[in-house]
Parts: sequence; C-alpha cells; structure tokens
Amino acid sequence: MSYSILVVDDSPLIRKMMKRSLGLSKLELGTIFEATNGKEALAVLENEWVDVVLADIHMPVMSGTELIELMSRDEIMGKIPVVVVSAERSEPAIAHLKKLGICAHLMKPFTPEQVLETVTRVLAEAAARSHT
Amino acid sequence: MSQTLKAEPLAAVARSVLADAAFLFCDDVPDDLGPSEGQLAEATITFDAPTPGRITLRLPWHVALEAAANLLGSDQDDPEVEESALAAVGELLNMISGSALKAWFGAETVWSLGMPVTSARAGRLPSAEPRGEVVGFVVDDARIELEAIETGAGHDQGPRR
Repeated sequence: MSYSILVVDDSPLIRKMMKRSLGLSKLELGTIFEATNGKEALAVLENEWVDVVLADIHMPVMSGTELIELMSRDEIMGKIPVVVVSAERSEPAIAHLKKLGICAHLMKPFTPEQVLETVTRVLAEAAARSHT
Repeated sequence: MSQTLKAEPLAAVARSVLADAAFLFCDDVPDDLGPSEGQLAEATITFDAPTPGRITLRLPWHVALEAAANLLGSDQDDPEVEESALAAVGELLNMISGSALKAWFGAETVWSLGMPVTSARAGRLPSAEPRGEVVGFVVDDARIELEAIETGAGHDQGPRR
C-alpha cells in the first residue's frame, strides 16, 4: 500500500524540505501533493485521496487553522490525520488546534528524522483506528 | 530600550535556531571587527502580542545562500539555492520569532505572528541607525543582525525605507 501525502505551506522552501524528508522514508509513498494555503489544500482534498496532511498555520488566503476547522466539519475530510508543522509556540493556540483534532504538532525547525517519525506514527495510528 | 523585547532571549533563540535549522554557528562579534557593506538579505516579521512589534533579520547575501543550501541539503551552486535564499531567510526569521515570542511573553500567552516580508538590498552591517533592541553575531567572519522594535502606541509604526 502506498501513502499519499499533502504538504500545505506557503513557503516553497519548506515544501521542498518536507518532500526531501519524506523521500528518505522507508514508507511506500504515492503522490506527494502540494498546496500553498488552506484553500488550495481543500481543492486537493476534494479531488484526491490523501492519507495524511502536513500543514503550516500562518499562510495567506486561508490559514492552517481555518483549513483544519473546515476539515473537521466534513465527514470524510475530518477523518484524515493532520500534522501541524509550524513555528507556533503559544500553548493556547496549540491547545486550540488539538481540540480541533490534529494528530501531532511538529515544531519548526524540524529534522528529517522528526518528520519521518511523526508521519510513520500518525499513519500507524490511523491504520489501527481503521481496524477497530 | 524595550522593557519586554529584550536582547538576551532573542540572541539565545537565534543562536539555537540558526545552528539547528541551517548549521549557521554564531560567534560573538569581535571588538576589532569593522562594519561591512554589500548585498544583504533582509526579512521582517510583525507580531501582535501584549507588546506588539516586529523583528528584522539582516545578513550578507552569501550567508543567505549558505543558509538556503543547508536547509535544502544542496550545494551552493545549485540554481535552486539562489532562488530559495530569501525564502530561507524569511523561514529562519519565522522560526526565531516563534521562539522569541515564547521567551518574551511566556508559552501561556496568545500572540499572532505575521508572515515574513523579505528583500535583497545593498546595505551596511551593523545598521547605522538601529531603532530597537539589536543583537549581532558573526557567522564565518560575516556579521548578521537581528533587531526587535516595539510598534505599540508611541513607538515606531512602520518598516524603515
């Protein structure tokens, strides 16, 4: 089984870093989709199968928080695991994201190993949930 | 001098982020190091917090290229590195700012961080007329500078042109 991943970040540099990190994975990867903001991410999610979303918070047009809020209201999108990858350090803001159902918060700066460990864990947890 | 946006915590988080993210290891500025002039990469980020303000990172263009190459895991002659230099400086400032806000205001505080605005320009380091708290380092004998400015009532309201 191959996993499709959606990387949502307005910085092309971060998207490249994420894709390179994921490329080091032993996971069988399908398509790695990219979006530069929440609105673009929703368009991908409406048309493609995605196993996990890696999303920044502070983005133009539609923030990561808005994206996660909209996903959580949708029956299908609400089941897709979301990992927030951001420089956000405010605990109330992180608590709000956790309340919205994010699976993990990866702080920038991140290492490729942290990305891989987090994505592998989140996918394993999602697989375990789907079998119960 | 700002009572809140203090230089020491900013310097500490900047050293940590620049080393961890981009393998830029910061040393103190030697007393005998003169100013440098040339092409600079600059990024500014505004924030809304109990003391609103903005933070600016300035560094020589060749250090920006080094940062981009290290972030991407590429050689400096890779064309992608030149294209990514300003984005790298913006992203490093974003990371520094998140940690600096936590250091200044505490993790329990709600704040809002804007998006980095970047530019390339000719300039001098250290800046001739800093307006806020300034911290300076050297990376491989090149100066880099961070400036934190309060923008609340009675303070500076916009980026310097």
